This record gives sequence, C-alpha cells and structure tokens, in this order.
Amino acid sequence: MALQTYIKGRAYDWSHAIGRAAANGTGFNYPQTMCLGNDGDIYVANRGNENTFAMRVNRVKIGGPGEEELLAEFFTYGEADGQSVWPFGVAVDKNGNVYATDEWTNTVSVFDAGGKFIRKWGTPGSDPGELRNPAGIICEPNGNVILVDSGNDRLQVFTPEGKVVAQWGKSGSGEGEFNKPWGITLDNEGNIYVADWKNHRVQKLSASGKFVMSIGRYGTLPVPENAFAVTYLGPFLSHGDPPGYPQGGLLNHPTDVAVDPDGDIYVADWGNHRVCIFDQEGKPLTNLVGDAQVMSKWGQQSIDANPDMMKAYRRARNQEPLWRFCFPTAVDFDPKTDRIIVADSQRNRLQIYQKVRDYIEFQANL
Amino acid sequence: MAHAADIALMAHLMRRAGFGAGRDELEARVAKGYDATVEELLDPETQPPVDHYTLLRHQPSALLPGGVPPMGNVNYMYYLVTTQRPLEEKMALFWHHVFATGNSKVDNYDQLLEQIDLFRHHGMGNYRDLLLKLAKNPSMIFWLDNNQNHGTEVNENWGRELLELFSLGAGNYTEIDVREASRAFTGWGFETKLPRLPYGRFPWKFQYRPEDHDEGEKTFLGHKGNFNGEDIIDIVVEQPACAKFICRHLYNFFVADEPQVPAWNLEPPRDPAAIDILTKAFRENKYEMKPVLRTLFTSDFFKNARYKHLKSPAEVVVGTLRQMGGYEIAKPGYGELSMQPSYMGQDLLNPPSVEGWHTGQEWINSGSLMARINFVAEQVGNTSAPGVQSIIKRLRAMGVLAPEQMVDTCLDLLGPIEVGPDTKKELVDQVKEWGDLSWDTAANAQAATKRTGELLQLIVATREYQFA
Amino acid sequence: MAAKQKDPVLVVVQLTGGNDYLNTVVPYNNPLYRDNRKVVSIGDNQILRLDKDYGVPSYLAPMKQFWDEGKLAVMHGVGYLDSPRSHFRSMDIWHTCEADKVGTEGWLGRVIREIDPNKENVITAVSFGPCLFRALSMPGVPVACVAGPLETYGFLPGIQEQTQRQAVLDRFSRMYKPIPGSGVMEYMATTGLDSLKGADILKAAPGKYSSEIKYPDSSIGRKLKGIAQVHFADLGTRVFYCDHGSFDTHAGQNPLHASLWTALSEGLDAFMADLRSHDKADNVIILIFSEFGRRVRDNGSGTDHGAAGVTFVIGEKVRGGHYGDMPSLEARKLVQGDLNPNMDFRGIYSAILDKWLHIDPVPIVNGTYEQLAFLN
Repeated sequence: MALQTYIKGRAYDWSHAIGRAAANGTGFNYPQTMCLGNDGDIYVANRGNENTFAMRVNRVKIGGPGEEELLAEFFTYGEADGQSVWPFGVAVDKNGNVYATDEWTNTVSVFDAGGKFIRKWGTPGSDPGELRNPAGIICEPNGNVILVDSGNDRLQVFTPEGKVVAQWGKSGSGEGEFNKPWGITLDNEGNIYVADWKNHRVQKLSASGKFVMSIGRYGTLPVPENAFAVTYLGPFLSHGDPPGYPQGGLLNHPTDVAVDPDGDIYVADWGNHRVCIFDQEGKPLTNLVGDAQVMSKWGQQSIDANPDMMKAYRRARNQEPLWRFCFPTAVDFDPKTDRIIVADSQRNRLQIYQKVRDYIEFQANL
Repeated sequence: MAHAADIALMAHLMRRAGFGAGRDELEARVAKGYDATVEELLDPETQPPVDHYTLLRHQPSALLPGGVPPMGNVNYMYYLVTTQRPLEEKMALFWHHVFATGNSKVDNYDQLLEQIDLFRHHGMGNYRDLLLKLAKNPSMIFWLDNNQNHGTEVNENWGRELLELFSLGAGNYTEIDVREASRAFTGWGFETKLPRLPYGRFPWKFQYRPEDHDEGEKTFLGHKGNFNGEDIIDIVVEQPACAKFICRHLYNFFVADEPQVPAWNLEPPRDPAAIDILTKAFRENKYEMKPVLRTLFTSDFFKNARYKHLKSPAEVVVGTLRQMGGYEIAKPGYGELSMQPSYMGQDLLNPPSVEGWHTGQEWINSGSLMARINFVAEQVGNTSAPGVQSIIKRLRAMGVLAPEQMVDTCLDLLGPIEVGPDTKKELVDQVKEWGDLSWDTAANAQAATKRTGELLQLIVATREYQFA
Repeated sequence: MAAKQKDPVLVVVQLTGGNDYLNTVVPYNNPLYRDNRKVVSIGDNQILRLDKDYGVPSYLAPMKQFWDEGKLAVMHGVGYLDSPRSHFRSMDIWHTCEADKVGTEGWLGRVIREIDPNKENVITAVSFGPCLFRALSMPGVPVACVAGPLETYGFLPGIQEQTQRQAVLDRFSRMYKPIPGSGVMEYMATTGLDSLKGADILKAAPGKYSSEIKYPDSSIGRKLKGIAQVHFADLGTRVFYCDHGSFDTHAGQNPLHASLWTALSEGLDAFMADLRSHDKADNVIILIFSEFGRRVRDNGSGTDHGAAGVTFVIGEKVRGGHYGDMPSLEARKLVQGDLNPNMDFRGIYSAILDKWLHIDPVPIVNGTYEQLAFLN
C-alpha cells in the first residue's frame, strides 16, 4: 500500500505518527474523541481503563515529524471537580477554553487554556437540559456548545454557562433521528455533522438542526475463517487472509466526522478500521487505512529503552498489522496545515496525513 | 402442584445449561416448554450475539488487555453476564475448564479471549474439528510448548496433554504413544508476532513448518503410518476411551460432581449407566456435541440430579449478577467485579495449570467460602437492585406474610432452592423473631424491605445455596 | 498447638509490578546511571547516601534510618536465570520456586503445612488483600484472607448493627451444624465453622490493640497496622503477607515511584516503632521483594520490565548491610538490556527458612541455594 493515495484530484500523503501507549505523560490511553486547538495543538480525551486508571485529556503540540510535545494533562481520574470517570468528548472554543464531557457522571466540565478547572454542569435525565451518556461536543463560533446527548439520542445546544438553548432529534433511524451517536463537527457554514453510531451513517444537519443529508450505510467485512469476533482486528492483512475492504461508502459503527474547506467529508469508520472519505454530495471517494511504517518519536523512545524490541520487530514476517488502524475513533482536519489527523485508538497513537495539493512526483522517485 | 415442579425443573436446567434465571424468565420458559427450551439453548444463532461494540465503546481497553488483569476479565465477564446464548457461553466455559490455558504463561489476554471465542463458535460443533482447531491455536501451542517441538528435538508436552487431559485420559495410552503423537505434531507452530511495545498486542497466527516436521513412520495406538497431527486426532477420537473421557467431563460439569480427573482411571463414574448413554450418543453421532447435549439435558439422570453440583466461582458470580440485574453495561467498577471469581479461587483465563481447576468440593476452603458468601450477600442485600426489587414486588402482592410463608417464598423466588429441615427451621426462627411482615404503610414496607434483604443474605449464606 | 510468644514470625511485603532497582538503591557515583536515565534519574541533591557508592532517594528516608541502625539488609542483583519479564510468570516463579514449569504450590503454603500439619490454628497465616496469593496457596492449608478493614472481617459484613449481627452469626453457626457422614455438607460445615472461629479470633485483635503510634493513612499503612494488631494479640500467626503497588512504572515514573515508596516507608517506620514500643519486634523480620527490576535505560517517561532487582530484609535480628553486588551497568554486560541477576532469590528464601523459621529449605524451594548470612 503506497504512502500516498491519489484519487479524483486529491492526494493524501502519510506524514507521521504521534504517541504510544502510556498511562500518563507522553502517550495516550484509548482516545475517545479529539479537538484541534487554536495554536497548532490538539486535545485528546482518553477513556483510560480500570487497571492504571489513565483517564485524562491531554494537549499535544503537533509540528513536523518528531516535533510533538506534551503540553498539558488534566481531567484525570477521580470524583472531585475537574476530574473524570469516563471522559468522552472534548472541544475548544475560540478563547482556548476547553469543554470536556463525562459519559458516566453526565456532566460537562470547562477548563481554561492552561487546564485549570472553571466550572461544570449536567444532571442525569431526559428532560431538556438533562444529559444521559454525553459523548462528542463542539463549540460554535458564537460561543455556544453543541453536545451529543448520546443516551437520549439527541443533540443539545448550551450556552457556555450551561443554560440549555435547544434540543434536536430523537431515537430512531429516520431523518434527524439518532441511535447512540458519538462524534460531531461543524463545517465552514455552520452545518452540523454527527456520527450516528448505531445507525451506521453520518447525518448532516443545518445550523438550526434541520436534517439535510445522510451519508453512508451499513456494511462490513465478513469475518475471516481464522479470526474471531473478540480480537478480529481486520482488515489487517496477513498471508492467506482474504484481502480487501468493504466497498467505499459502507460504514460499521462510525464514531466521528470531519469536513475540510473543499467540502470533503472524512468519517472515522471505527468498526471497519478505516477513514472513509466522501465528497460534499456524500459520494464515496476513497479510504485511508493507516500507514504508520515509521515509529513515532515517543514510540521510538520506548524502543530505544528496550534493545531487544528492534530485534523482535525484525523477526515478524509481516509488518503490515503495525501500520494499520485498529478501531480509529476520531478524525480531524486542520485547515491551517491541510492535515488529516486520525486517532488510531487501539494503538494509542495519532496518524497524520497531508492532503496534498498540486503534488508532482519527482521523476527520480518513479 | 404441577406448576411449581415445572419451575423447579426449568430453574435446574437454566442453572446447569446456563447461569440461572430469575422468576420472570423461568415462567416465560416454562410456558414455552422444557424440550422447546432445550432446543433453543442448542440453537444459539436464534438469539442475538453479545454486542462487543458496546463493550468497546465503554471499555476500549478490553480488546487488547495486555498481560495484567482486570481488563481481560472485564471482557470475559461482560460476555458471561450479558449473553443471550447461555448454553453457548456455558460450553465455552466447559472447554476452558478442559483445555485449560493460562495467562500466567501466555501473557496475552487478547489471545486467551480469542481462544474462548473459538470455544464459543465451535464448542457445540464437532469435537474432532474442535480438537484440530485447538491443535492449531497459537495460545495452546505456546502454552504447551509445541512451538518447541521440532523434528530433530521432540517436545512431548502437547502430545502428552492431548492424550492425558484433552481426549483419552490417563491409562489409555503408553509412553510410546505420547512420543509418537508428539512426533506427528512437529512443525505445528506459529509465526513470530509483532512485539507489544509501544502500540499494544498483535495476534499470533498458526504456521505449519513442513521443514521442521518429522516425516518418519509412527506407530500410534496400534496404527502405523507417516502420521501428521490430523491423523493422530482422527485415531484418538475413534477410541472408546475418548468418548468415555469426554462424556465423563460433560457429566462432571453439567450433571453431578465426580472425583478429580487424576483419579478417573482409578475411580469409576458414580453413574456408569449415564456415561454409557452419553457415550453411545457421542459415537453414534460421530462426535457432534449437540446430539450429546440434547441427550444429556432430556435424560432422567440429568433431571433428577438436583443440587448435585457445587457451583464454581464463575457460576456463583455470574449467576448472581445476572439475577440481580443492572450489569448489562460494563460500567465503572466492572474491573473489580470481574476479579471476584479469582478471589473465590477461579481466576478466569488463568487456570493454575493445564490440569485446570479442581472442582466440586475443592472449590471450598475457609477463604473461598467467606468470599462466596460475602459477595452474594452483598449483592442480594442491596434491596434497590432490579433482581431484589422484582422479588419484593412479588412479596408485596402476597400481602401480610407469616414467617414460614416468607421463608418459603424467598427460597422459591431466589431459586427455587431446597434446604434441609434444620436449615429451614433456623431461617423460619429468624423471621419469627421479626414477626409478620406487612407492606401496608410506608414504615412497614420499609421495615419489610430491610428484613427481606437480611433474609436473602441469610439464605445465600446457607450451605445448600452453594449447590446448583 | 499452643501459641508460643517468641516463635519466629515472617512478614512479607510484595511490591507488585516490578520495583525499579536503580531508583531505589541508586549507584549515584556511576556515570552510567545518569547516562542511561536522562529523564528518570534521581538528582544528587535528593539522594541520601548509604555509603560512597550507593544512596536512596529522599523519599526512602525511614529505610535510611533502618540502615543507620544496622537493621536493613540490602540484597543486590536478585533474580533467577532466564527471566521472562512478564508480571504473572515472574511473580509465579517467586511464589512457587518453579522456574521451569508452572507450579501450583506456594512456598509459604508449604511452610504453613510444615509448621501446622494438623491445622490446629486456622490463622497460622494471615494475608491482607482480597485474593489468595499463590505464595500461600496449598490444597488443604487454611489462610485467613482479610480483604477489607480488620474490624469488619468476617461473614456478612453488610450487617453491622451489633445485636442484629450477633443474631445472624449465631444463626449461621447453628445452620452449619456438622452432620457426620454427609460428605461435602459436613466438610462445608467444618470449613464454615473454622472460618467463623478464625474471623471471631481475628476480629477481636483490633479491640485488644492500644498504641501511641500513628500509622499513615494509606492502604499499605492500614495493612501494616492490621498485621501489628494481629501480632500483638498473640494468636499464633507465624506468616503475614500483604502487597503494595503498582510499581509498574512504564510512564511518569518519578512522582509515582516517590509516592509508592513514601507510603511504604512511612508505613514501615510506624510498624517497626509500634513493634518496638510493645517489645514485640524481636521475633519479626520483614521481607520486601518484587517480581523483577526494571530496564537500565529509561523510555523518556518511565522504565520498562527488566530482570535483576533489589530485595530488602528488615528486623531487629537482621545483620544490616549490602549483600551481593549490583550487577554491572555496562552495556556489554547487560542481558538483553537488563541487569544480569547474580543472586538467586531462592537463596534468600533458604536463609529465612533455615536460619529464621528453622525449617529444612530444600523441599520448600526445590533445591539447594547459597544462603547469605543476613540473619543473626
């Protein structure tokens, strides 16, 4: 699989990976969602686990390969204000304040740009303003936040202080209806895109919450003979396994969506281990499947500390599983750098692709 | 009364073929009928599978749990507690008992979970096919060192355990057979996999290396030929001893406690006629498990074997959680909950050795008895749990309850459970100290609720409650 | 068996997760230490020197105190051949003394069987923690596992109201009347009643306890206090076991290691002070071990699994000092990046079994191992 994918006037060039599995510090622990900051940085909400309790939001500076830095860590495990049990959504407003949702305590916590706790709101329930398993969250230019109230199968709009403004949607599979939605994003015009998780599609709504379009429908790979549901990590390819991916446009439990200035739509096709790219009419273009052939900086630090590791890597016959996504939960597009950032959740890393414009491959490289 | 007998029989079936059932479920199943229920249990595809996507949404680390608990246990516990295919899950646990493979050496919980999933998919299929898949299962190969079984340097660990523990049982083969079988499995290994740092576990993949295989002639159980692994398995399953061994395991797990496996070539089965019935079904159906299970669950010897099985820690914990309700989502605290069977002596996915766990009476020691009783008591003592609320609802509908009635009803709704006359007297005496219980006023209802919780705790503390 | 007050007692503190040897006993003068640990090395100004070669981080101050008193034995380079560097397997090897195959009998389980073959005292071994450590596991050997606070140890801890609890437990013991010849029901009866008796005995220990010493408010602090309470109650307990952790510091090592050792050191400080103030320290030694040490080189945030580690023994009758040598940090002398063990842990066990508990070590540790003279 080439490092660069070229289709219908777009070219995607894998750039680098950031991260490694870590209970704290330089690394991640099961990213659930993420959100670009205002300053070449990104905030990642880590779900953690019940062994090391590594729940947190961390803030990472993204530069060229190897230039990443850990900037902050907050919303760690605990029951006090500013702490979390099940971190899920994270969003940044234009002032750099950070909003993070906790799916278990049914709250939204607000932090300043330095990670200092400011306030929180949220009570469990289904009435207007009440929350049940809040998931993704996004900040509108006007300062309001739109929250994916997943357990109530709806979206809710709040002021930054937590006063409810609107609810949109209800349970179901029809237009404007949801089933356990996960991630959310906005395009330049304020349209809302929601990853409608158990409806296996993305829905586009207008800025006032009216249904516009549905993207994608259910589809997945048949489980290969010698792989089983629990650890089926497909579609990583190994000798003899059936290759291939589901046809473009078929989604399996999509968790997130991003839109670029050209209108292209990127969907984190979680259960199919890929990012599906659609054009603005919702027609499938191509897939990104993960191409991490180069170790990340922090990953390399782990390798360097464990000299037998390099030998262990060389002994494996097929390196391909290493490169590929495994349940990618989130995708963002950074218009300032034309980069696609994918949270490769089970591998605890971010994979970064460059959307290349006017790319010409050198003669010498052919 | 006919209905009570049906409920009791159905409860017995669900405890053995699954992990128990609450009263509402029992009544629904009785309405369908016993034989129809057995058929449904034998046809798991008619029920939806466990939603592992929902598990991964809430506990993503349960997919690749590494080498340290509890996230691997969380994954397994989630399946045990939420499955709507109880017999499929129970059979997977059965094979986990027999083909015991432990994380203490394998050090990859994801690979052990994959093995359990193998048992889910194929545990009720054909035994011969299952044995072949097991021989190719990388976790098993690593566990029993078959990746170190080379044509030039035979390692007998897998070959031996295949015969001694997985098919024939001790005394039904010679040391030469062990050697020859091991020779036949040379070259059955796995590809080296990508290492775990820094991005987590990758799976093993079976690999047969013909260049490492011993191509010579082998003499195995009287047969001669250039046997490879499949041939050994084919010869093994034909042996009458194999049918007897596997059927005795089924009897021990589903019907009544036998002595520990190492004693099996010395001590005969407690019900040889039952073993014969099962063995006949096993051989006549060419090692298909479903007909054998059907024969077992519809037999008189099964139906009459009430309380002859001491619950394993898995049954204690899973049965309680399913009955109490509220554990359908892998909520915070699931990690600690999933470790409960190990506190009682059964560390799922990590049996102490390839011999598996010592079952029956040997589950009980001073530490484990206390752990079992205290865990279940804590659960049933929580009167706001859905399972307890449903018992209370039925009690309320009966109005004022005299002590005997109270005890009888609670025993009935919690199980039904049978207790000996001495135990019953103690329980009734305890309730007598409280007097009649009524639900007419808020104060009375609150007191009655509290007493119900305490009575349930006392019931689950009885010796009789330890049996299924 | 009558409880003899001065029978030797062993307290085992298991550091679960792999305690980092080099940041616990720091070779502060060795340049290779800082070369390899650009991120996690302990600064010079934070080291309390034991001597010209080794020091301990300031958060091990109480341990330094034991060292100065001559009561701390430091065993260097402890491990065994071909460490698998996996938690489970390594811990099993320490627990069962079986390095080549999967063992199921714990070394301390064998010890209890030796000490009390007729099970006259069901609380000969008391473990503080929810599950039975494999080290104590042995079919037929009872071990009291205190999962929660000692004060509420026993059956049905959810029923705490005094009169109600008494009534329910009385009921329990009547329900567990043994019926001879009833097989498993009888076995359960004796087991249940033994447990109840053990619980009654153990639970009384906090009530009999009175002390001026204040233990730190941490999990290990509470466990050590529980051990002291049971020890002072003279119930005949010979083996105590507890664990502390997790020391698996792959990431963010420095603050984590500091907080773990601060809690442990303060707990041990209070424990020894408590024992001494009650004049019950003479017959107690404390063994502190971990299943492996960690890598020489850090990974930028912490350290990963290694091989050779450090083991400590503390006690009034311990001959303090260094035992063995720290394995070389030179790259060419490392084994796959790790310190090469040069002291077999079974030698430490053997010395404790032979010289302290007065039991033949060979069948317990499956062999004969060199014993170092750290016990007076």
